[in-house]
Amino acid sequence: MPVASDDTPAAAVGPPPPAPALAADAQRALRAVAGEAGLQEHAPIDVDGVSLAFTVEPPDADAVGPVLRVLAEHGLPALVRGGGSRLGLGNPPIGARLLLSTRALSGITELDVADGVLCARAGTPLRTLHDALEDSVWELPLDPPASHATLGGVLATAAVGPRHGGFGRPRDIVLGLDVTLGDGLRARCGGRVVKNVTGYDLAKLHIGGFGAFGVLLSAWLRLRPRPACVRVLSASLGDGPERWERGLAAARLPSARAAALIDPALAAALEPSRPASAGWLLLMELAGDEAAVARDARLLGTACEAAAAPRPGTRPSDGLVGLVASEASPGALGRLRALQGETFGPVGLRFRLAVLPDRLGAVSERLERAAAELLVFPASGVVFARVSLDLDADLSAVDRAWLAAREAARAGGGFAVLEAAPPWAKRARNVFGEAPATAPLLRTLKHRFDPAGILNPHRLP
Amino acid sequence: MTAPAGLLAALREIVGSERCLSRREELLPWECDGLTLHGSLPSAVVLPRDTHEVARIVRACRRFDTPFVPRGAGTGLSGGAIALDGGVVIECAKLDRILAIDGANRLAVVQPGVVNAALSQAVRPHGLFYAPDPSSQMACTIGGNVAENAGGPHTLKYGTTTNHVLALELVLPDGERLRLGSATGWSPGVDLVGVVVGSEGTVGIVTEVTVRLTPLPEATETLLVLFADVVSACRAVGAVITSGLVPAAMEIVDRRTIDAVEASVYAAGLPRDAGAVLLVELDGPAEALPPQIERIRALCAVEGARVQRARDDAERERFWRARKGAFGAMGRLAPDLYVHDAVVPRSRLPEVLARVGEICDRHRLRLSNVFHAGDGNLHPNISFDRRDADELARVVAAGREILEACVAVGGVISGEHGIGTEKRDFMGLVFSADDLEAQHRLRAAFDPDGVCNPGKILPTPRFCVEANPKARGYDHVPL
Repeated sequence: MPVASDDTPAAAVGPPPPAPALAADAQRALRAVAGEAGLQEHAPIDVDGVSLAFTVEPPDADAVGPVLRVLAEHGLPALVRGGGSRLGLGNPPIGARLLLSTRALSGITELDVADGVLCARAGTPLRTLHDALEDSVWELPLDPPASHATLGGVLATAAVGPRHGGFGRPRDIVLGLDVTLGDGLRARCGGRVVKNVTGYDLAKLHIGGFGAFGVLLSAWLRLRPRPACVRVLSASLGDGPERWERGLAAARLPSARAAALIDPALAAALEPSRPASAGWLLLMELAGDEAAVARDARLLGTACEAAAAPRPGTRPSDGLVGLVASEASPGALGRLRALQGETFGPVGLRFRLAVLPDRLGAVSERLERAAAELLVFPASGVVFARVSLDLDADLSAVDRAWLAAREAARAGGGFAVLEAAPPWAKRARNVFGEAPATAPLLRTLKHRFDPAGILNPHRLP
Repeated sequence: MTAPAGLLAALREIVGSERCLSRREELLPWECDGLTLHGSLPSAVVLPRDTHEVARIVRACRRFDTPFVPRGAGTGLSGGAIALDGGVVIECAKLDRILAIDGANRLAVVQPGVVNAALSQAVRPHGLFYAPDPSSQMACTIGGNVAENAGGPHTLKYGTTTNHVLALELVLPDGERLRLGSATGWSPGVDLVGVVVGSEGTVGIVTEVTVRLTPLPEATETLLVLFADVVSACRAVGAVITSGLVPAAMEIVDRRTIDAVEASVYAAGLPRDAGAVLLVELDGPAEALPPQIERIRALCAVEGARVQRARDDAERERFWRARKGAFGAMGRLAPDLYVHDAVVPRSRLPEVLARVGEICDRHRLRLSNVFHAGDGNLHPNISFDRRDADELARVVAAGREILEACVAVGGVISGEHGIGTEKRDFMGLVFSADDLEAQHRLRAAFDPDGVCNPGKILPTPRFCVEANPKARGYDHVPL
């Protein structure tokens, strides 16, 4: 039986697609550079309809280049795999013949507490990094769903979690990268210092590059000071149009590390005891100095409730009048993170939109007309929209939902990406939207960095 | 080198005679940028007014096989805006309009010739500012900031230019126009905006920039902390950073700089008996700042420092005038000033500063330091007289040794000024030949014929081999 990748809904696993065989001479060549245990044959793993029954696992960073040269020589495109939590992102890797695992490239190579920087190998699970910093004055500013996700996978997909408002994005915290390009050339970029314009910022190409230009080996990261005080609060925003302004004002409070607006249906999944009549849920995490957190919590709290209208000369955060905030359970943010990463229902679609914050109302309206359930990060304009399809849904249902998502994104001044869908629904469409004007440039970059086209084929637009 | 006659005619047809300069005396202001040690006269200077003209200029240059260089205000300090080999300078000064200010979404759309400080001034009524604030912000332009990924004192909290650019319009080296990124700040796929920022005008000409704006802080506190010496000031900076505080800025001014400032029009009343001054700025909610000030007082007291708090805006401005006017004040020390730029891990600042001092002493050079201590971003400034050939040679030799000392502790050779022509041949100190090959590939994907600001950033292979027989100590960094 094929095994679904970690993010693939069970229903997406249909009849096993034929897994491509690997010629004996290619197997021998790969074992010669990766070791006998470095090539494994296994039950087919289905990734967006592409069935893969072999995994090559370079034992260390030095072996990645030779492995890639063998793959190029034998014409074997590979799908790079870290923790497997995001294999379903991007366009289907059509033509991939095997997986290339970074699992052996694991561990922290340096933790510099004095400077607040850390270097770790790409295959290191995020959980390991968080654990290593547990008693430190520093914290790792990465919190995407799936703690078994690896550092390399998170960077390659530029994944963010609920705290991205406070943490920033992977592009903001990576100081330097060590990468093996498609033709086996090993190249570093950036460095270990927190400010650097020495040469081209090649790291930006690889972060969010879906592994199309190189295999990430290790990364230097900038850590953040661990806040002295953290509070998780929630508030009901009702269903009125004012929820967007209030939600945005809350999300823009200086100490807001995470702030999500959650529609009533998803809120019920987050807090089962919550009545649907309570409307939209605002879930916030405040972090920082005690004084800063206390001040923002007060603004969120009952002190605001008494005010009937903004006072003359007040600041934008005074748009919070009318909110009643209460302490949420400590696990609420973890459940929110899980919710963000879920695929929904047996035949579900998940879209990620990026729109302008002041257009969230219009965007939401369009998405709700398409029966989407919404998780919204108002400060960054990021919207996760999930649409559950009927079991007998066909491509036209997917087309309608996809069109609605793109139109909503356009109305919001941004774009939509199809993040999760059954394999049949992803095929024959570009999950990043229309072919971008940058496509020719991206193809040129791909050719320069991966001339044989063996890394994560077809993932990018 | 003169421009081909046909090219001049084509350029004049595009922008008119008054915006196409070609006589030697007209071209002299474009011979160098803020790095006056490197100069090269362009064959022509054109001043387009819109993207369409930029694209036509680029295509004309291509037809006549002539390289071209985009240029902002020319305040860069690494020779990045000079035209080598008879290239044409595409001066962006007339692309100076703020196209849109969107206060609700905290963004602005600007042309590249908009002056950095002018943008902050324009958006102030919206309660916003543009955070990157290089010392030259009264003159430097957003386009130049994008090219260099400019920083400034407040990058400690707010980041550099790359953290504030949401989208770009670019004229590629073949004359095609391309939009990158989106006003949302997110990209559906590859982050090409991030690739272009900091590419020093070598991958195309930026003709429109969408920038993120930052809310004006509710309150600001500025502290002047007086230390006996630079080393104790650096130790205090380290203590503040590891305490979890994130000041908006932490700047150190050394004794020699204090003397120069106090003898100049930038005099701020800095105590002449202090060995070093640390300028700390905190911003945020008003009630959050007093506890932070007390923590900083306590941390600095460990080093025996005295803390003065700016009592009002006038005093704050006076403190900052001393910091930002430091480079100007150094004009009193000697006819020329070489402003170095390198970054080291913050914890290595004391030993590197000592090493830099030793290098300059050995070369009998006048050194002063004013730098972004919170980022580990050094600016050793060497005052000299270029007419003295021997002194000039010592300045150059010391410069290389300073960079080597920074790289030896895991640092890099530029934190905010860029590589340009100044440090092109030192790239091998930091990067291996393979590292540089990857950078070549990136550049070639945009500009396969090498016509867009050629001769910048990347060294010739010969220099790579000479400069990096064993990566000069950087190999120990397990990247």
